[in-house]
Amino acid sequence: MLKIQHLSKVFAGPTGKVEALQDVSLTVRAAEFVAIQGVSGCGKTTLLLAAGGLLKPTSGQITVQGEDFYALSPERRAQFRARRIGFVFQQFHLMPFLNASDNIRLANLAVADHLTDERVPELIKQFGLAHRQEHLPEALSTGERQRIALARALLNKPALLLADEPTGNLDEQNGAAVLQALKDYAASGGAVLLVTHDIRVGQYAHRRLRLERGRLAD
Amino acid sequence: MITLRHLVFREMLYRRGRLLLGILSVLVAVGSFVGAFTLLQLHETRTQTILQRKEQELRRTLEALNDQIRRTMLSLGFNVVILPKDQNLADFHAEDFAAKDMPEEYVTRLARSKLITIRHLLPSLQQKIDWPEIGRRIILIGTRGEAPLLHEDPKQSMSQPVPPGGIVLGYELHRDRGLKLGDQVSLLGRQFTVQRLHDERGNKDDITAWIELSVAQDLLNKKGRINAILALECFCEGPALPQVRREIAGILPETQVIERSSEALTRSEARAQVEADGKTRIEQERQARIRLQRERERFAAILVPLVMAACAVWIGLLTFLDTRERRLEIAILRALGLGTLQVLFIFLAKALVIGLIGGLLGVAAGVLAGAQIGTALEGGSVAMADLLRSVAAVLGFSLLMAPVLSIAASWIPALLAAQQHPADILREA
Ligand SMILES: Nc1ncnc2c1ncn2[C@@H]1O[C@H](COP(=O)(O)OP(=O)(O)OP(=O)(O)O)[C@@H](O)[C@H]1O
Ligand SMILES: [Mg+2]
Repeated sequence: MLKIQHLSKVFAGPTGKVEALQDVSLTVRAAEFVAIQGVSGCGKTTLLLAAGGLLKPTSGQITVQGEDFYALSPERRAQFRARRIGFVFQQFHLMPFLNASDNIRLANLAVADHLTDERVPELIKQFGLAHRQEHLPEALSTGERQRIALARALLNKPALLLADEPTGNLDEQNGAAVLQALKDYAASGGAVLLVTHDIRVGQYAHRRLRLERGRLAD
Repeated sequence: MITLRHLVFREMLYRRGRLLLGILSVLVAVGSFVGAFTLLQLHETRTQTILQRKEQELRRTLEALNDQIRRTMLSLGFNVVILPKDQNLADFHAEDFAAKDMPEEYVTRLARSKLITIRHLLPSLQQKIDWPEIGRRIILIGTRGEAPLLHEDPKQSMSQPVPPGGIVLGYELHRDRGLKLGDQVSLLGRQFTVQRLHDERGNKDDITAWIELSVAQDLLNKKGRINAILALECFCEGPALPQVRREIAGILPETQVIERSSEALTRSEARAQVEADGKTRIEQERQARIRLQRERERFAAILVPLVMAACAVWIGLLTFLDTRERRLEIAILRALGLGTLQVLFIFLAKALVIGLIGGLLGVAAGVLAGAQIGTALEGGSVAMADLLRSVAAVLGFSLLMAPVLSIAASWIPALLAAQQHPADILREA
């Protein structure tokens, strides 16, 4: 599903090169939940953004469902991302001016598929947001916000779900619910890649990898 | 399903303050433009009315003068007198009539010729005589009314002819005798019916009696002779006289032409003077108003672009702040698969709405403010419908320009926002 080969990412910093990722190779299959752990600054977010088609690697290759999407035009890549890849972030990143259900629908903006929209009530129910769907994010708890972000990421049934520290701002119970949701999505056939320093992830992920100073280590 | 329009609309409602600020800046830009133009237009219109009124006044004055001149001419005014060539002019002026005479046929000759400057010809035979029946010295004028100008359409007669057997009497000649119209008087043994009685004129007309020309010729024993032709020239002034002289001399070599200084001529000169003065005054007024207009135009030409540029910069700044603040939103939208064009659309659509609403309000505010300031500066009242009609093109232009201005001002910040790399922002957040 997600196949990363010899991925390197070098940033030009003010005091020279910053090698954020060095020769990272990794595969996440369909229905697999892979967690990557590492200290702050080890390159977790960089890896996730590169895997999501938002950050072009310095070298190496990334394919999702066999598609080398950095070879696509920016427009095609954006479309590909909209349909095949879901993102969940630590800060939720909801649109403050859209209510809960419209924030979920937002994932359909670039896709514009009527059938997709029909899944919104289902997701709202699944994440226990029925009584909150008309509310703006500012009126919701952090747990509810992250569940909306999760529902948004899942709306298009992406082949690959990328989650960057989704439990970082949540209490234990909400965090556990999110991890469970990721696990459930993998169980339903999605490929899930999670980066986190949440230690509970062991109970949910199929595989755990360590990222140290831009390199994968077991 | 959620659309970009929906997104733009929701965002604008959510951040109303920002929206209002944007609308306000377009309003100020468009308002100052429309306001300045309305003001200038009002000034222009007002100038037109003032000048028109003045011109009308002048025309009325001139018409009144024309009328006076016409009436004066009808009663006594003729511009040239054609006399026999051998008439001594000193005698003529002393006696008020010519002792020499010439054939009446001269009139016909003159009438047949195609003189351009002469309008009316009036042959007469005049003589000072004693009226034995009343024992007075009087001027007897035989007149036959106007000689038709054969080459022209028959014109209305300048003076009413006296019918044969009729007599018209000056004031002195009927006052003491208590004569009435239709009374019979006897002159040199002939009976005449009183045709008209003149009021006092204070000149020799008061001792003049008018009878029909052929009767006078009979009475004075001068068959087929006349001693003056009064020629009324057209309304042209002084310089025409030499030409009239030349023309008449060409046709009637046996005559001389003298100018008859008449009240009509004086008035005609006065009229010309009044007209010239009036025109000068109107022209001065026009120039003054044009100067004022130019001044205001210059002022507007500096102020309006300045205000508009300031507003454009301000709108650009607002959009820039907007894009800065919404970087994360943009990055998320990009992560969700939106392209750069769609991000551009989000900001430009907002600019469009701001431009449309701001333009509409600006046009309304501009016209109202312009009219208000206009009446304060110029006085008078404004006919709103007329004003709107006269500035309609500019209003339309402004309504079109406002969104263009707003979009143009937002273009660069929106483009920068659309081209931002979402990864940098997402990692920072
Ligand atoms: N645009 C950039 N320019 C220069 N250096 C960068 C850039 N982006 C990331 N880095 C560097 O790359 C390294 C990895 O950054 P990254 O954000 O992936 O870390 P992280 O593991 O996600 O950390 P955290 O757990 O705090 O989120 C860091 O040292 C960071 O300073
Ligand atoms: Mg990170």
